Amino acid sequence: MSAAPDTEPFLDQLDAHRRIVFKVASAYARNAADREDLSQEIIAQLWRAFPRWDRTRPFATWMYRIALNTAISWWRTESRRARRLQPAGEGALDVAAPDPEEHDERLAWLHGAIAALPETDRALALLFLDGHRHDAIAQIMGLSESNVSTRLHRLKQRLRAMV
Amino acid sequence: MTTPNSVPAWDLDAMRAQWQAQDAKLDALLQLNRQHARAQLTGPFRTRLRLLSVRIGAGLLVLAPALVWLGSFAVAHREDARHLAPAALLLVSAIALFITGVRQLVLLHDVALDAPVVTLQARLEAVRIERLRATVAALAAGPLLWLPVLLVVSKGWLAVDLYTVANGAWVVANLAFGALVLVVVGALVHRHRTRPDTTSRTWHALLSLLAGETLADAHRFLDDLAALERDASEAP
Repeated sequence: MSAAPDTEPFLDQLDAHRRIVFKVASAYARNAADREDLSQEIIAQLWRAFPRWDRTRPFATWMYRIALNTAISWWRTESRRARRLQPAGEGALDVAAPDPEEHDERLAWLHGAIAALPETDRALALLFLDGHRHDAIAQIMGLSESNVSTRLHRLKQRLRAMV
Repeated sequence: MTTPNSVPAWDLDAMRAQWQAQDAKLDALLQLNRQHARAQLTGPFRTRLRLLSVRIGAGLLVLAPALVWLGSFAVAHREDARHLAPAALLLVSAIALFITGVRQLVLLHDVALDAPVVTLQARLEAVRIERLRATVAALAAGPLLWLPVLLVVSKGWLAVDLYTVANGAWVVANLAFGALVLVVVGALVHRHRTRPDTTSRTWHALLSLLAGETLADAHRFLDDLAALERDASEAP
């Protein structure tokens, strides 16, 4: 039997960027149970892809791609699923307190507005809010930089119209 | 959607700083359970994509011997048109299913979740559309194909020639029954379009599939992705 792969380098990176998993899962999940399910799926996909991570590139950017791809796929199939992939219970990401954004009205409202967006616009909004530059967003999404700028401009107008 | 009374003129750029300020709080509140994560990573974990590939592969493994058997049955009854015709129909249907299964596996084989989001989602949606088409075709053809299945299986496995055991009226009655099933399903689909039944998630999903809504949604998403990729001429 082969030795178990060394998980520690991966867990170190995951630990340092764990909030990305939480934010993406929160944006695409309808409730805490779904968020846990989706978080597990994201972590599993990250682990599978970890050997392909180019160490010369930022882990966060690479992680965002996988997390968003996993979340969007999950979102598009979730409505057709009659059961969860894994039973509810202990997850890898424990939240020590109720949803951190709940007590902030504006952020709670923003979360709600983002959750109402189409899947890909949700990804754009998340990346923008997290401070990524347009070229980084373009690289993650597979779009041109000018396209990202235009889409974000329309997104801002759309969200303003929700007010 | 209404905003809290205290929210001033809303601006995504202005909220960016507030959003990022949450990162410190998240770091404090989120704890990675390394022991749990380690156990999951080193164990046999399942992801949805892997399960999908396994399901498709299992289907092909079941279909392959059926294809071989149907082929040999058709050859053995090449002089007997009454059994050759249903066998040929089933063989063509099975080959079409097999080909679509192989195409899906090929598409899924190259799937790398670290690919650009729009590119990967377009590929995954293409796989989904393949599966939806195959499922709808199987469900629609099912009521009409069960008689050929009965004729071929009876002759091939049980050595019973249903054409001689039963009379022509029986065959016609079975065909008519199959057509009736299609009519009933059509009526249910029509009703679903005007008054969707949301009491059962599975039933709702099935009727949405048969009504073409699921496939239309998938095509819409593909169109949205294509529109997203096109360079926009409007300047921000």
